Order: sequence, then structure tokens, then C-alpha cells
Amino acid sequence: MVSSMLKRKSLNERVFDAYAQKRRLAVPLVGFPGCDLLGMSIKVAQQNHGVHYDCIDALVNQLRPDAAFMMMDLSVEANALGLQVRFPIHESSTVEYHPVRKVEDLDKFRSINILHDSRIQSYIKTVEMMRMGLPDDVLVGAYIIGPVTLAGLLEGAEQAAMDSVIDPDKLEALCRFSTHIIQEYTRALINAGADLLCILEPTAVILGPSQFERFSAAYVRHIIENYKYAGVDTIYHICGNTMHLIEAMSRSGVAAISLDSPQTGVDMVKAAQLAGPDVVVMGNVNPTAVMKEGTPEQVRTACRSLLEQMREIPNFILSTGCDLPPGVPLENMLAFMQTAREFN
Amino acid sequence: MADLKALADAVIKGNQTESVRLTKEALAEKMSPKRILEEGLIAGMGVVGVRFKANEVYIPEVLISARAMKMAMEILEPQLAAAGVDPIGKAIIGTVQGDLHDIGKNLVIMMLKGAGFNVEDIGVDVSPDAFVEKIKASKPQIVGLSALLTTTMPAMDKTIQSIRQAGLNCKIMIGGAPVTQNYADKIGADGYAPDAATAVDVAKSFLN
Ligand code: B1M
Repeated sequence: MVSSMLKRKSLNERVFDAYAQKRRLAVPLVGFPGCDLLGMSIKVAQQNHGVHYDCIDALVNQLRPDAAFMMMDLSVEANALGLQVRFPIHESSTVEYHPVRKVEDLDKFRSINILHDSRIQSYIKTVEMMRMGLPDDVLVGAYIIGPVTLAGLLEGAEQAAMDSVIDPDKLEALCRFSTHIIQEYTRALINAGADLLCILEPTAVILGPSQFERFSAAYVRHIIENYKYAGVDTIYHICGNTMHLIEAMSRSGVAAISLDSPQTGVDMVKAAQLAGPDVVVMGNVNPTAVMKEGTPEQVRTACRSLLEQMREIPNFILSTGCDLPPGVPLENMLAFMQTAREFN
Repeated sequence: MADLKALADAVIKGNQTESVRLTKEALAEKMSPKRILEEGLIAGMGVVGVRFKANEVYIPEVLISARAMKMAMEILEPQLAAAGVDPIGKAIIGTVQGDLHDIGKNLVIMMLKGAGFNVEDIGVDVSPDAFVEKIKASKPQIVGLSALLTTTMPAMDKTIQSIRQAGLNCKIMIGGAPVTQNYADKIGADGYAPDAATAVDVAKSFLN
């Protein structure tokens, strides 16, 4: 209680404080391996907030990261709008049909209050439990989908990409609608106690810089503007090779950008230079080739080499390039955390 | 005289109305379908490929150009066949079981068609058995497997095993963001391509 009455430190302040003390914040993007720890299926965790929380709690107990996120689920907002979603048992749920053909098709969604949706409620409750149950020094992180990615789920990613050039008004209408949905959910997640909001915008990687600015960054800026006094920090996460988007991502008002692994083409040092000193860069140990398939020693080598490269850059958080898939060995996650803690 | 340069430009700009109109015009003037394909459509797509590699255009522009080419190809394909222009090879391509990603696969298909292959698109989430059935029915020389998820990469392995066990004699190419040459070697694929342009080279190498 007392801690919440003190002025909350921003993510940026925490990162700089740590650097001054020769420490690095370490925040692996990890949720599904919590299901492995408890022998639970992803399907149950994504629909049962008690199990979801227990999985995150188990991970936090083992790893003690500087921030913990709920499980990544790019289908939860679209599912709340009634889109067709498949629920595999050991993989994340996923949208399988994209029904929107024209802007008017959005009308049938407009009267839906997504906050009354059972799965949306389940994620909000998970965040509430994380707020209450996780140790005070672990920041509580929630995910929201990005405007272009939700637009891509509504009309198909390929169509959204093409519309960015041939029918920009249509894509704009879809992104505006998506932003409205995202804001509703954002408000609820902040009320539930999230410290960090990570905007998942993977589909936007296929856009060029000016299309990205218009259809993604502009809306992200708008969302951040609306919640700037809410005491929450935002992170822009895009997978794949985002080198052409770093400047636009960094100028959107977010506290941090989260980038994918070197194998996709991301160069963290160059990205940090492009982002400038005021935006934190997070990344980018390979979630599959290193974290899942590698040995603990290979994880240590990858983490050490990244920490070494970023030595002169204060605004850096050691993270994974993307969400860790199920099946990542606990020893590898421990090796990741241990290397971060021991490095100075 | 139909303007093949204008046709190439229509593909570059992704203007499908123009690409279709100019293709029809060229055919009406009895221009050889092969020339229309090579000097119009492939020439245009080639420019798009170069601009994409140089970061002058991005995937949306490539997709629009591919679509303009596809619409023109639909008119041209029967004419190519009628003119006795044989495809240089036959391929079927699909995304493996459990995987719904198809943007990359579609680009690979367009590039192969542009290079003169007859390509059958068998869609997404294709099971090993469905691959085997399609191969039996269409008898392609080349089979392409695409996967974008690390979790569906094992489905490539299974599909290749099923194809081999069925005793089907075809060359198998795999691709998709998480796939590597190493992985291709490991599961016994005949070839791997990191992008659509390389996919054409790999497919051509299978024909020799
Ligand atoms: C036969 O021979 C060949 C030869 C070369 C071949 C080839 C075959 N196939 C491809 N190539 C090669 O040539 C192409 C052209 O040069 C290239 O193709 P690519 O496909 O690589 O490139 C395309 C031209 C452009 N790239 C793409 O089209 C992929 C872009 C990203 C953003 C992407 C998209 C668009 C989508 N996604 Co998905 N998606 C991502 C991607 C993230 C990223 N930043 O890359 C990725 C691949 N997705 C991912 C995930 C996790 C998922 N996605 C999912 C869903 C979707 C959408 C439906 C939203 C959409 C697909 C739309 C569609 N119709 O394809 C879900 C799974 C659905 C399923 N079961 O398949 C879901 C599970 C997310 C969820 N929870 O809902 C990640 C995979 C992580 C991993 N390594 O396993 C991912 C990297 C993003 C992420 N981290 O979230 C080459 O690879």
C-alpha cells in the first residue's frame, strides 16, 4: 500500500537508476513456459484467470524478472468482437477467419462492449491478481493488440497491407475503429493495476515507414496521449526485421521499443542509436534458436555478448526477441536471468 | 501496337485494371503470349523485386504488383497453353498443417508463375496426407512447403516423410521466416529458399 502512495518511478528512471548502479533490468517475454511448470495447457490458462495467474506466479518465483507479463494472446480482442477463433490445446488461440470486406461491415461490431466479454474479463482479472499477488519489485505488464494488427485480423493481413496503398481511407477507418476497441481495454487494464502496457503490433512490420506512421504510430500516439497521466509506461513490440521502422516507433511517445532477434536482421546497437537516448530499447535474445533449442551455455553466451555490445548504452533492457514459446527449458530461462544479474 | 512497356508499368504500379486491359489489347493484336509474359509482366515484376531489395518499396507495393500480375496471368495462361508454350515445370505449393500464414507463399507462387512454372496453390493448413493426395493427382516435379511458425516446422518434417513413404518422386523445396538451410538438410528437403526470388532459382535448379 505504502509503495503505491509514493510517486511511481517511470520505466525510464528505473532503467537509468539500474545503469548507474551497474545493473541491467532483465525482462524476458515469457508466459507459456509457465504452463509447462504447472503441467497446464495453454487453452486452460488462456480461459481461466486463476490458472493463468498461477502460471505467471510460478515463473516469477523461479526467475524473479524485473517485470512480468500476462500471456501473449493476439486473438482476445478480436474474439470479443465475435470473430472465429480456434483454440488448440497446447498453442495460443488464433483468429482463423477475417470477415470484414467493407467499412460498413464494422457497424455490426460497434454496439459490442468488449469489456463484457468473458475472455477479456479473464485477462483483466489476471492482471488484478498479478497486481495483488506478485512481489512489489516486479512490474505488472499487460498486452494490448496494435491498431494495424487488429485491422489485419478484421479484414485479413494481406488485404490490410494492400489497403495501406490502394484504399487508405478504408484502412484508416479500420484502424480508427480498432483504436477505439483498444482504448476501452487499455482503460480496464490500467484500472486493474498494470504498470506496463505492451502494444503488440507484429503485422505492421510489413508496412513501409510512411504507411507505418500513418496507420500504426499515429494511433499509438493517440492512445498514449489519452493515458499520459495514468502512471503507466508503454512498450511498442513488433516482431521481425523492424530496422526500417525504428525511428517512427520511437517517435510515437512510447517509453520503450521491443525488438526481435538478430537473426531477423535487427541490430540492437544501431537501433539504440536510431531510437535516441530517451527511448528504452528492449531485446533481443532469439526465443527459439537460443532460448528453446539452445543449451544453458549457449543462452549465457548470447546474453553476455548482447550485454557487452550494449555496454555503453544506458537505455537498454535485456529481453527476448519475442514471446517465449512453450517448451523452453527452465534451465535456459534461469541462465538468461543469472547472466543478466551477474553482468557488470 | 500494344505497349508492353506500359504493361510492365501497370504491374510496377500495381494497377490491375490497366494490366488486364493491356494484356487483352496485346492478345487482340496477336502478339505472342510468351512475349507479353516476358516483356510485360515478368519485366514489371522484376523491377518491383529490385526496388523491394533496395528498400524503395515495401511488402504492400509488392503484393499489389503481384495481384496486378496475377489478374493478367489469368487471361494469359490459357493463351500460353494454346500457343503451345509449355510451362518450364510443374509445382504445387502449400502451407503446412496448423499454419495459416500465406502472404509469403503467395509471393513465391507469383514469382514462380512469372518465371514460367505452372503452379498449383493448395492453400494453408495442408495435412501431410492432403499433400500426398495432391501430388498423386497432379504429378508435379516440384513440391513447395511453407511454414511461418516454429511450432509448425515439425509438420514439414512429417510431410516430407509422408511424401517419401508414398514413394513419390518429386523435388521438395521449403521456406518461410523461421526455416533455415540447416533445417532443410536435417529433414531431407531437396532445397531451401530464404525469399521468393531465390525460390525461383532453386526451382529451376531442380529441373536440370
Ligand atoms: C516453398 O518454398 C518456399 C520458399 C520461400 C518461402 C516460402 C516457401 N514461404 C515463404 N518463403 C520466403 O519467401 C517469402 C517472400 O520473400 C518470405 O515469406 P514470409 O512469410 O517470411 O514474408 C512475407 C512476405 C511477409 N511476412 C508475413 O506475411 C508474416 C508477417 C507476420 C506479421 C504475421 C502475420 C501477417 C500473421 N500472423 Co503470425 N505473423 C508473423 C509475422 C511477423 C513478422 N514480423 O514476420 C509471425 C510469423 N506469426 C507468429 C505467430 C505466433 C502467430 N501468427 C498468427 C496469425 C497471423 C495472422 C493471421 C494475423 C497473419 C497471417 C496472415 C496471412 N494470411 O498470412 C497466429 C498463428 C496462426 C496460425 N495457426 O498460423 C500466431 C500464433 C499469433 C496468435 N497468437 O494469433 C509469429 C511466429 C513466431 C514463431 N517463430 O513461431 C510471428 C513471427 C509474429 C509473432 N512473433 O507474433 C520468405 O520467408
